[in-house]
Amino acid sequence: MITFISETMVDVTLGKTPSPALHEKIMLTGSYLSAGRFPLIKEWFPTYTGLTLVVDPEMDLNGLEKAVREAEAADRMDAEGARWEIPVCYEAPFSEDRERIESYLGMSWEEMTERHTDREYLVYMIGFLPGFPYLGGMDPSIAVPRLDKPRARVEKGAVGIAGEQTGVYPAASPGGWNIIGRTPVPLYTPGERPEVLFAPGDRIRFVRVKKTVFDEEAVPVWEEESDGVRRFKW
Amino acid sequence: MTICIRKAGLLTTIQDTGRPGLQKNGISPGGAMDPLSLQLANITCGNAPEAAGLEITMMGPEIVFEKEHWIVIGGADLSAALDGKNVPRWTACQVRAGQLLTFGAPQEGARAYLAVSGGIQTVPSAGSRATHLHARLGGIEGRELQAGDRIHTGEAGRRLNRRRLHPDMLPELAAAAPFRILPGPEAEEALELLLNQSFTLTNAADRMGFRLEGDKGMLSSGGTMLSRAADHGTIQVPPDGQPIVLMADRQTTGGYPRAGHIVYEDLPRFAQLVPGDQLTFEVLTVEEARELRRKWERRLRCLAGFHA
Repeated sequence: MITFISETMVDVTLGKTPSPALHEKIMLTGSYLSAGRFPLIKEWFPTYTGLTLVVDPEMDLNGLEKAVREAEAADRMDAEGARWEIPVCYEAPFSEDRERIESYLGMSWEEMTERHTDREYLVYMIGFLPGFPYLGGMDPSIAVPRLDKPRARVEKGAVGIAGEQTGVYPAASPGGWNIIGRTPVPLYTPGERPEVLFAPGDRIRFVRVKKTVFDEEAVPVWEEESDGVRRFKW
Repeated sequence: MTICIRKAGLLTTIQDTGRPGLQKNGISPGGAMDPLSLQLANITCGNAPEAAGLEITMMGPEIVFEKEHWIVIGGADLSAALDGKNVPRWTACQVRAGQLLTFGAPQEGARAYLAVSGGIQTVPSAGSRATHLHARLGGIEGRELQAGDRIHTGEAGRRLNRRRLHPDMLPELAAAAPFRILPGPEAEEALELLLNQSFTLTNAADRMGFRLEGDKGMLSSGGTMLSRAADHGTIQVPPDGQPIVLMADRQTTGGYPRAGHIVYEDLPRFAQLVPGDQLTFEVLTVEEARELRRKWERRLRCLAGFHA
């Protein structure tokens, strides 16, 4: 299904529920559309259940539908994303929405953070801010709706929950997600290559750390260990 | 050729028409808040429409010109003056070495654009000189200009005398007409809310987004949808019913319902609103909005060709 967001931005929905299989189809469709085959398609990026295209104002709906049908019929690909372990401190003062979440879920903080760290998440898309990973696969029992009124300022490194999504703020910004903790890992470094840490298709596991990691002067850097997981060291 | 910032002003940034192609990394294209005024100022100044200039917000800077330049000021009327003498908008004006450009009280609109002959020549990052504040890209080190900054410009071209923008092309910054929108993908209740009342622009209005305030109602649901893409001009409505319009340095995605999208032709006028201004919306179909956009692009191309 094709829906215009603006005159030149289009949502292409390819499925209803996010899943690793749908994600793979989305990535494949997007790379097919962006390989220079359709000059009126300027830019694309994946979302949870489809992709978003930036098109020239001259691109008409028929041309768009035809391009998407052609892309959907293309061959599969099998690129594997990187695997990461991201340290997160779930303690005060970083667990800003703890009370709201505990009362909404009727669950202890220990239990909530256990469920947030007990699995690997798939990076479905990068969006919102430079390098912000939108993760899928969260335990639905810890889903909490967004704030009714977004905060004027969420801090850099804040880890949040919005519905069944979880993600990390790479920079301070306004935001409406429930804030549960903070990571010292830099997700976006302008001037570096690549400037963003994660890519769609990567897998992330959060690990609980003590507040004292924030006392370290050094910026954590990652190293890929023998099990293929990238872990951070100070 | 160099210009020197003697006083910073409220928020002065180097802007061009932006940096498309990085939304997959969460980096919006950015660029001028009112790209039309920047492009028209450039065209009048003999530059390519997409050349970099300065975006000057409400309270302007003081700028010393170290060499002779031609300049054009477009967009808001922020009482520009050269050595104390009023500088008319949309008119090429010769500046001699050592002259001082100042700004005074804002008279109309919020953002003025300064085009200089040859364009601003800072080092582009990812193909653009536009300052993207929270991505810390472009301009000078990705930041707003500050006192002491010296900025290189291109060579001053041929004499422009007192070339003016054709009156038919003058943007109407102060018109009280409703802002035209196309319906968003999650329109329904949120779109009704946009069309049934007037709004006030709040003080929460920066290069990332403008928060509006209305007096009617909350949404009955919301807060759990999957985040989706949004564009410059997209109107999100959080459950509290107070819309947020995404602007140039916007986020690339968001999770509040996308009620509608301000059409391209009306965005420049929207970017020129000042906190406290009242506004209303009216709805067009997607096809009407896309046709307006196509017509607009053709008109601008034609004008750029005519002035070249």
